[in-house]
Amino acid sequence: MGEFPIALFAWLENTPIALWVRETLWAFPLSIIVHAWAMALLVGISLLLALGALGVAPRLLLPLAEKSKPVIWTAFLLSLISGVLLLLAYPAKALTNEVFYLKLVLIGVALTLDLSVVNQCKNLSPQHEAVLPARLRLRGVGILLAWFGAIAAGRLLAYTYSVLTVT
Amino acid sequence: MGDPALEDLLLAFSERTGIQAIMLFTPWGWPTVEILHFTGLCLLFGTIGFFDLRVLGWAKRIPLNALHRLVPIGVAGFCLNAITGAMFLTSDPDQYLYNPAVQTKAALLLLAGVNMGLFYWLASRELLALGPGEPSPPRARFFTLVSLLAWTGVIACGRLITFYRPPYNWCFWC
Repeated sequence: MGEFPIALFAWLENTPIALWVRETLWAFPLSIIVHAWAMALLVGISLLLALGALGVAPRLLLPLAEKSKPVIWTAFLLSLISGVLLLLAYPAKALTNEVFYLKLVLIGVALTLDLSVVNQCKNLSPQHEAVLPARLRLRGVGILLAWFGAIAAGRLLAYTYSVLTVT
Repeated sequence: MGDPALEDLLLAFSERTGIQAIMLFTPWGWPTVEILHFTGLCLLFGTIGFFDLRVLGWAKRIPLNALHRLVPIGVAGFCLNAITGAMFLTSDPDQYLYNPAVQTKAALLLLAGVNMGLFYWLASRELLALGPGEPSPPRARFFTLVSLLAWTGVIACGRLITFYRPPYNWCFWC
């Protein structure tokens, strides 16, 4: 484990917004609820994209891909905003934990694969759906591994932290 | 709402089946079961939640039957969460039994279950027989809206379980 800028974390956790999240009755639980709703939407639609790309759900993939992007981006934005608020409340707790960076990398990979499937579908016609290209199936597997890995990493954050400078 | 007898019964079950030993006396038991619980949530919402959204008017070009075929995945997610949920509950009952977030969650689960039964009894046949592009009948819209609200409420209550012990600031029946 390298050296972490603890002074920066200490400054972050004393910013007005961090204090607001920690000390307002509803800010923290509301953030965590929105984070869970956004996860349900984002992993939910990714699950559908993956099942479509794997050929498990015939006739789903092309019309789904057409309508996926606004859902993906809305859910991502919600999880980003709620996630940043949760992070600001206890910055040292997450930022000193390698698992947190693993979670971010997995989310990055998962989102990239989601968007790649959506974009590849633009070049597919309904006849292609009977035999989906291998690269699409591979991305389907990747989406499932990356998103469920991100969920696992996210849950483990509550058990693997070692630094807590505020309570 | 207090029931020490029920608490003892749940604890005895957890002890006798070895669930408690895994959940409380290994470092990996509780986190692993939590990961599975969140995984089940996504399986359930990804299939049933998006079926509901589709019936309510989202992505009308997706054939309803294509999404409806995935409902068994949602049911599998529900079963996973019923099992993992029971593992939490029986290992540490007093954290849950008297918690208003759990009580609300249980009520919403019951609502979701009854609503699903009514949907299949009263609305599914008409809905799934629709041709492409035909608008969903009002009855189907009603049941899917209730389903969506119940499941989003279940998720919210699940996340509230670890807050406000005791939750006197919002629980009006405690």
